[in-house]
Amino acid sequence: MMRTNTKWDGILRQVDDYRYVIPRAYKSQMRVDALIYSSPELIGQVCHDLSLEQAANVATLPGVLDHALAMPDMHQGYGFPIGGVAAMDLETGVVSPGGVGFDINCGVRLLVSPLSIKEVRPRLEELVQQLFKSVPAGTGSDGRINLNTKQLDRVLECGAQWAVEEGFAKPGDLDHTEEFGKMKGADASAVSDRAKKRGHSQLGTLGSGNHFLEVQQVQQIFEKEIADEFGIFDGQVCIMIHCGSRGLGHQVCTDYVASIKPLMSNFGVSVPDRELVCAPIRSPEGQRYLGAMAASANFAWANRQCISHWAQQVFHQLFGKQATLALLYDVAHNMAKFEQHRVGSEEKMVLVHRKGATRAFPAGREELARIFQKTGQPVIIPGDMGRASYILVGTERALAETFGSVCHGAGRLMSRTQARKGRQAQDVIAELRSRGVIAKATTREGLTEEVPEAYKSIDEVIEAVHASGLARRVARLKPVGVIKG
Amino acid sequence: MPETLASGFEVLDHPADMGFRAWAPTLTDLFAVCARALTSVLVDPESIRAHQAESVEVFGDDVETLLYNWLAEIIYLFDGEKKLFCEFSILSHRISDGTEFLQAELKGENYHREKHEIKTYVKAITFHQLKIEHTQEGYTAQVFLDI
Repeated sequence: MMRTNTKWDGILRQVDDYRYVIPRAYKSQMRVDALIYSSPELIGQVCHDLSLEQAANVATLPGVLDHALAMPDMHQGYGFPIGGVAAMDLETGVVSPGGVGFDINCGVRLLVSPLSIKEVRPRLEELVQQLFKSVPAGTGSDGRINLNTKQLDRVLECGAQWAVEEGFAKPGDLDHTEEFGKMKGADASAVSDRAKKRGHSQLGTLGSGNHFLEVQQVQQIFEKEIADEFGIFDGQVCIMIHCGSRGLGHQVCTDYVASIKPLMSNFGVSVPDRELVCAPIRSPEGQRYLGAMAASANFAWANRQCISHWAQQVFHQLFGKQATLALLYDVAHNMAKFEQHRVGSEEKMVLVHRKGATRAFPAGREELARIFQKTGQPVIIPGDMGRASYILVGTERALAETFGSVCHGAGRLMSRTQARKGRQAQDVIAELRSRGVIAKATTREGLTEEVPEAYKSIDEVIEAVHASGLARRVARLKPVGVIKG
Repeated sequence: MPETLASGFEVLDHPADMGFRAWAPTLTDLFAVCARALTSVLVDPESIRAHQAESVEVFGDDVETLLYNWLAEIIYLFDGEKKLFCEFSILSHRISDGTEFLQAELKGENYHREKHEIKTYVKAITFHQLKIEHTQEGYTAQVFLDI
C-alpha cells in the first residue's frame, strides 16, 4: 500500500511557543520561509503527515510574499495544507485553484437567537427533528429550490443579495457577511455548464462529510464588552451552519485544474506538486478562474442564506414570532481575496489564498461594515460535533503577520477509515447524547467519520491562536444538537 | 469484467479524505477498474443495473491527466446528470499529437435515492499522488479523492 503519511524529517526551527519556521534553505525552490503557527501540544501531530512539506511547497509558488503560512489546525490537504495561507504579488504572482480548494467558499455562519438554553431545552428534541426535516442534507437529497439557468446565473452574480431579493434574507444580513455576501468580479459565464448542472438543484442543501447545522449554547464568555457588542450572552442558543458551494464549486475547481495544468509550461511555471496547478493572476486563465471562483463563492453565500431562512422558520414555528435569529457573521474559509496589506514598507494590493483558513480583520478595516468598525470582525471557528466552537475577534497582529488570517476549525487527526473502524452510528448517537448532544444524520458515515476523537482539540487550536495574538477569544459555545448529511 | 488476481482495487487511507489503488493487466483494463473503484466508493455497485448505455470521450495531455478527466467525468455524470454505472467498456485509447484520447461505453441507470444508497459523496478527483505505473504484472494506479 502506498504510504501517504511520512514523519517530517526536514528543518523546523522553533521561534517561540507558537511559531515555527521552515527556512527557505530546506528546499531550493522555496522563495520564502514557511511560518507555522502551532503549539507544543499540536506540533507533534503536525509532524506525522505531509502538511509541513506542503507548506514548504507553497513557499515555492511564483510571487509568494513574506512567508507561506500555516495555521494551528493545519493538516495534510491537496497541494496546500489545510490551514494554509499564501499572499501573492499581483504582477508576478499566481492564483492556484488548489489554494482555494474544491469546496469554494466553504464557510461558516453563526445565527444568534434571543432565547436561552433553559427556554429551548424542553423542546430541543423537537427543534433538532424539525431542523433535520427542513434542511436538505446528505447526498441525493432533493433540494427545496430548483433553478433554471437564468436564475442560477443571477445567484452566481449576486450571491446573498439574490437571497434578499427572493425573501431568503433581510437586507441587514449583508453587513454581517464577508464581502457583503456578493463578491466583486463574479463571472457566471466562466462557470461551465457542467458546474451549473451540478449546482442547479443543490442550492439550499447542507451536503455531507464535515458539513453540519448545529444548535449550540454559549457556554463561556471571555470578553464581555465585545460579546455585548456582538449580541452574545451566556446560555444563549445559537445556530451554526457549515457548508459551501456544493457540486457547483467542486466542478469549477475540477474544470480549472484540468484547463490550467497544460498551460503551465507556457507560463514558465513548474511546481513540486501537481495540486499546486496555477496561472499568473494577470493571465486570461487566471482572471477567468477568479471570475468563476467569485461566482461559486456567491453561490455558497446564497446557499447558507437559504438554510438560515429555513432554520428561522423552524424557530418561529416552535418558539413564536419573537424567536428571531440574527446573523452575527458569515466567514469563508476556502477563498482567494484581493486585499490591501502592508508588505515590507509599502501598502499594496495582494491576492490572499486561504485554504482552510479564515479572514480575521481587526477594527478599522474598510472591508468591515460600520457595525464592526469598533470591534473588529467576528471570527467563527467550529470545532467537532461533541466538544466546542468559538467566536473570536480579529487583531492587528494577524494583520501584521498572517495577512489577517487564522485557523478555520479543529483539523482532522484521524482518517475517515480510522474514525469509522469499530464504530456504529447508534453508539455514536448514544455517546453524543451522554454529552448532551442530540445528533441526526442522513448516513451512518455522517456520524462515525465525524466523531469528536477524529479531530484535534479545538481548545488547543484556539489556545494557540489566542496566545499567538492572531485573534482574541470572545465566547465558547457547546453543541446541543447536530444535523449532518 | 470480473475481478481476478490480475485486476482489482483496494481503498486507501488519507488523513482527511480517501483514495484507492487499482491494478490490471492492461492500461485500458486499468481505466475500467479505476471507474469501478470510484463507483464502489460512491455506492454499492451491486445496486446498479445496466439498463442504459452512455458514450464517453475524454482526453488529457498525459495518461495521468487522462485518468483524472475520465474519473472526473464519472463524478460529473453522477452529480450533474444523476446517472450511475456498473459496466465500463474501454473502446479505444489512442495518442494523437501528444494528446491522449479515451473512448468508452458505460452501462448503468438513473440514480434513485431509494434504490442507490450513497456511501460517500465524492466532491472531486485530485492530482494528489496520482500515479500510473507500468509493472511486470501489468499496470497500477493510485488516486485520491476529495470527499
